[in-house]
Amino acid sequence: MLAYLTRRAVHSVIALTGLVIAVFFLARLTGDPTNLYLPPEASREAREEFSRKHGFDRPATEQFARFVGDVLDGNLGFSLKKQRPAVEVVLEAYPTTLKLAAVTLLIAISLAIAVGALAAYRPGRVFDRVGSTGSLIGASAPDFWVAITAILLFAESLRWLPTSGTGGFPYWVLPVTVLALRPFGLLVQVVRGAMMDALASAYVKTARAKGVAERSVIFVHALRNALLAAVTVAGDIAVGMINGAVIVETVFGWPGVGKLMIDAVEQRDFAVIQASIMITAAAIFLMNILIDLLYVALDPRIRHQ
Amino acid sequence: MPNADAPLLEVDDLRIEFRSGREIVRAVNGASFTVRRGETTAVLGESGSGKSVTAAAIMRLLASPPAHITGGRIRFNGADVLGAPMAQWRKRCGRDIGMVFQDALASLNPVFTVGWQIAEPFKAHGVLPAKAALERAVALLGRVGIPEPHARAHDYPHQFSGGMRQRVMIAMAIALDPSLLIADEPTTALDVTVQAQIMDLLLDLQRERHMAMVLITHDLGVVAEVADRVAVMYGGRVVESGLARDVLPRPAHPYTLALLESVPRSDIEQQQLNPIVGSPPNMATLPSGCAFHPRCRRATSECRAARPPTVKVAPGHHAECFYAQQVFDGR
Amino acid sequence: MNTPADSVSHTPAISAQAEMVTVRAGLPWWRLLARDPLALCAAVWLAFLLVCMLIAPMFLGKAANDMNLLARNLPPWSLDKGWLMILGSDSLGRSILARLLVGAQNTLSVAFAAVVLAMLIGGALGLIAGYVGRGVGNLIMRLSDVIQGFPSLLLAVIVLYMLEPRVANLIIVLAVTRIPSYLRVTRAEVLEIRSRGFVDAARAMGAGRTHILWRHIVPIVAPTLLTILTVDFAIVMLSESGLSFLGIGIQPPEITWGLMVAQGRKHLSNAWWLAFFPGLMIMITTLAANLLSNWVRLITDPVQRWRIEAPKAAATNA
Repeated sequence: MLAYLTRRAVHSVIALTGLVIAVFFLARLTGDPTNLYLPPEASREAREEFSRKHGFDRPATEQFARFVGDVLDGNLGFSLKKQRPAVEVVLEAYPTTLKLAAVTLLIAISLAIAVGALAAYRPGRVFDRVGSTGSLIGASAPDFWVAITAILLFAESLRWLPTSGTGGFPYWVLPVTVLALRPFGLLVQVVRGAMMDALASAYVKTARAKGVAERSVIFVHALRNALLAAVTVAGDIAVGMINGAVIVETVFGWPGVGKLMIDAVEQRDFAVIQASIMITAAAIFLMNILIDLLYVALDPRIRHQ
Repeated sequence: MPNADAPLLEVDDLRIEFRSGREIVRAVNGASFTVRRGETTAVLGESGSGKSVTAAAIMRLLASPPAHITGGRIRFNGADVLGAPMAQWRKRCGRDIGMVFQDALASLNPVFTVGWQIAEPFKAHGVLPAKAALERAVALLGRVGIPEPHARAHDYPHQFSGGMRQRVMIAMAIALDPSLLIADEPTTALDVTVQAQIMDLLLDLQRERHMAMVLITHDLGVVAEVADRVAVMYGGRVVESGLARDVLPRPAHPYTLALLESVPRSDIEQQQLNPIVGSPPNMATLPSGCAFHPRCRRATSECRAARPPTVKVAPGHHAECFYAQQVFDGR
Repeated sequence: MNTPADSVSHTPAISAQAEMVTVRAGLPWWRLLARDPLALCAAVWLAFLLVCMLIAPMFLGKAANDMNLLARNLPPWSLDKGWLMILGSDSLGRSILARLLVGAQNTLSVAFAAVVLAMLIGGALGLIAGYVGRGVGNLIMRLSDVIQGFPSLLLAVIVLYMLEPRVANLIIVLAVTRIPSYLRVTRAEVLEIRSRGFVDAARAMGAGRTHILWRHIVPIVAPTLLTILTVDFAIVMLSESGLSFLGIGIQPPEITWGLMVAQGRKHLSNAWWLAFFPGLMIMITTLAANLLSNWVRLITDPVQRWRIEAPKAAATNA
């Protein structure tokens, strides 16, 4: 088990390093990196001044060494727009995104497990058809369009909910619903398939032969195994959540990392973009370790490997 | 308790079909046999003869669809099994009837400890609270011959060897002292040396607890060793039945005879082994008349045309063959 | 459980495999399609879009781009200004219907180009990773981990920011984010084929590498890759629309559905149809691609296929 976790962690570190290198080289590939940091109207002198200050006039190897050193120090650049270290700006925005993601995941996962499990119990029946088609539509819907359509309907026409911003419960309803759509759609399909396998398994027959009530057969014996399959897609879902958060935060005006990044693109604030990317990568790295631990906790067969 | 002489389990003209797509597979075509209290009844047959489907039907474990019980009756303790509401029937599973499956690794839930799984029947039937149930589970583990039961109760199925897993299954099946144990090929998946140990354990437990046992098997040796009664299945029907000590030395159905001739024996003179020619019937397109006729040395046009009657060749010894008497008489 | 139930559940698989052979021989997959109404609708819709993609810009290009200040912000079903205004018009008086049909070209061709590119690169890398094994193979797999473990939208944002949002760059970025699945499938298949050894046999008989590739590996991998391609088409279309919506995808005056939603968003409260219809198009098309890919997966999977062949059949397979 330790070997398994170590191997997975090493892979993640390699992935993280690869990303850092890729960001560095892509930035250099564009020709003049000052284009990324400075507004297009910046004067020639200002560019040269900036280049000197940040070492862009040095040889590439030296630049790379400096870049890696900075990254290890946690120095991911200085936001010219905000006049603060980019790391600070990004870390300030992160809790908002994490809160949104956590609430959404909690709701999406519980709903998807319930719908997927019940759909698998009587495949082909009405509930299964509605649930399966519904989840497919959820997975196919463009989130930005659902978001603005929902704003139009529930906020502007019906005036039940606020259009954007943060605050109490009403402010959460639309963002969470829109963000939950795709993870819900994906999970329902995964849980349904895994539950069908589990319900057809020999150990479910054993449980029935023991006289275990049908409720426990489904929700204890079968579901406990089906959850393993759901955990295997947890990484994909979490990564997808970040994609969704960019859109949802932008549309609903949530001051999270996603909105921060898109604003930074509009303001051409490269340091903030670069810092968001790297901190997100590190967050994904941590999350993958957590998912691995969860998997190990859920599957005794891996624990004893 | 009802009349002690009344049969414990009666399977009467049971018919089961599997429907998938356009195809209908008639897995069981009117199987009948009875099981008495405290006795071991072996249901003997090749792969595809319908014996395991019958066992699953007794427990009502067949998934429908694709399985459909199209006829016949099963009575347990005189009460109708198939017509009872499922929730009510489920309460008798485990308590009155226990079941041991062939593949213990697949049949034990991989994510729960063995102790938890053995304790589950006590909890499910409201017999004992969780803690006491776990203690009973440990005792049962000891009873079925697992060393260090206290420690092993916290292990998971994949941490046991094949034979030990089958012992765990048995402990689970006998937990509530059922009056009937259905063992579906309990030793098929095991090493030969372990097979004998498991059979011995089953027999021991059966005597100790006065359980009746239905032993589903394709192994004539096992039948000869442990069975009081035997029901031979072919093509989804019981083609011969009777006391094992009557049937095995003097079978009345050509199929049983062929089976006996296909295994090495030390009790009689044998020139050579005679494997049964041909292959088991395709259950989707069963042969007309007697299902065994394509492989039968005695088959006549009569056998192709009509299903043979059940012939009583001796008290309690029946065979479904036009020529049962001749086979019985060794002619 | 043992034998009878087993033989039962295997029979459909066997008969389905037998029919697979007939499908390979070119016999009627369209009749299978006709049996599944949802998949049929999906296929018809995609075919319709394909036609639009090819001919709409020729006939409707003018209507999609020319301003008509007399017909600004017409609500849907304004037939008195001509049938082109059936879905309304935008703030410059351009027909929404015409823009949708013309926009199909950009939206679909970007997504299509990206997935085909991803399939080619991923397939090639998978072949290499499977053939050369250890060192290089591992490196390729780790690279694919980097891509897979990172949010595709963020990857696209940073790359498009640095490289300017040109169509070619957009296609490359979208393709890169989809490479891992093709890579994995191809590599797994190559390893599987190598372990079976008949490729070695072919080589012993003097077959060249390209011969082995085209005769043994491509035919086996291709159906799986095509199934992934349909799913990915849906995913990439959503990503492209999302990027266009965020303003870092295709830039005006080009027309794409995602861009139309973004432009319509400003007029949401007074002209909802500007954003509504293009989004609906995206959703229906994504749904169609998903449905079709489910169907393709079903008919290429011998164990599942009988479900379509016998529509009345029970769904459980004990």
